[in-house]
Amino acid sequence: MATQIPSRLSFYGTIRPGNTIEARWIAGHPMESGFRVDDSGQRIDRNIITQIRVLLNDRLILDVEPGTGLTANPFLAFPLTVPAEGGTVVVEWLDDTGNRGRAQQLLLLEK
Amino acid sequence: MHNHSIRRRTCLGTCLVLAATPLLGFSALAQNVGTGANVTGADLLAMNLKADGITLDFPRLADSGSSVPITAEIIAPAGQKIAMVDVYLPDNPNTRAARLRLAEPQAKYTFTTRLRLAASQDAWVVATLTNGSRMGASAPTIITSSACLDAS
Repeated sequence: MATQIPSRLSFYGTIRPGNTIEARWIAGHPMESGFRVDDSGQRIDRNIITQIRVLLNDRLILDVEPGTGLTANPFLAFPLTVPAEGGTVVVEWLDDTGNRGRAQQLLLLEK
Repeated sequence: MHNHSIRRRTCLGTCLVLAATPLLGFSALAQNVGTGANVTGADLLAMNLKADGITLDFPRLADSGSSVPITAEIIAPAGQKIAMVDVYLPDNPNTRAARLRLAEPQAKYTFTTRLRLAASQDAWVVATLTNGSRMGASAPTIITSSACLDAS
């Protein structure tokens, strides 16, 4: 798939060392289930995100294996504990066609 | 043609699993959860999971199965931590909607996602603790339009 799939990562809560905040990730992925047929009766190939990896300062904190039961434009909100020095959160994903995506966001500490 | 043969093979596999299921004990059923085989509602019920500590926020009625939000708050028993969380939709073609592996086990975990439902059913959230035991809770929803099997 040549089209670029957008994804976004954002944080909710006060970003202070030791605080647990909520991170929200969303991607504009069709999550084609493989069960649908098109107008000519041809089955549409499955194309879902098969892996989502969340890294905090290059350390893996969450590894998600989605199935066909997640919606198109998949959304995931998960907790995150802010490290003392702040840092970077990266969400990487991979789909059935081999397409990859990445959303990155800085954890900027509040005073 | 290609699709057809895959379908037949999948169906064969499913039949084999179904035929083998009565021969397996409860512990083997519980193992289905570990291996990611298509876990059924009966499997989940047979596991007698304790719902204490799990709070599900799931709508009782949804207009469409295309997108139904679910929030789960899981609090592990004292001294235990959550290592993995599975979301099951027993009446979907693929019953496991998501598996979350926590690289750093947590005593408390809250997450939200959106589910695609083939039919009105109970959604299950099953948490695996670091000692290997499981806890799980379900919440029912009624939907008025399926999302998985229609051609729209």
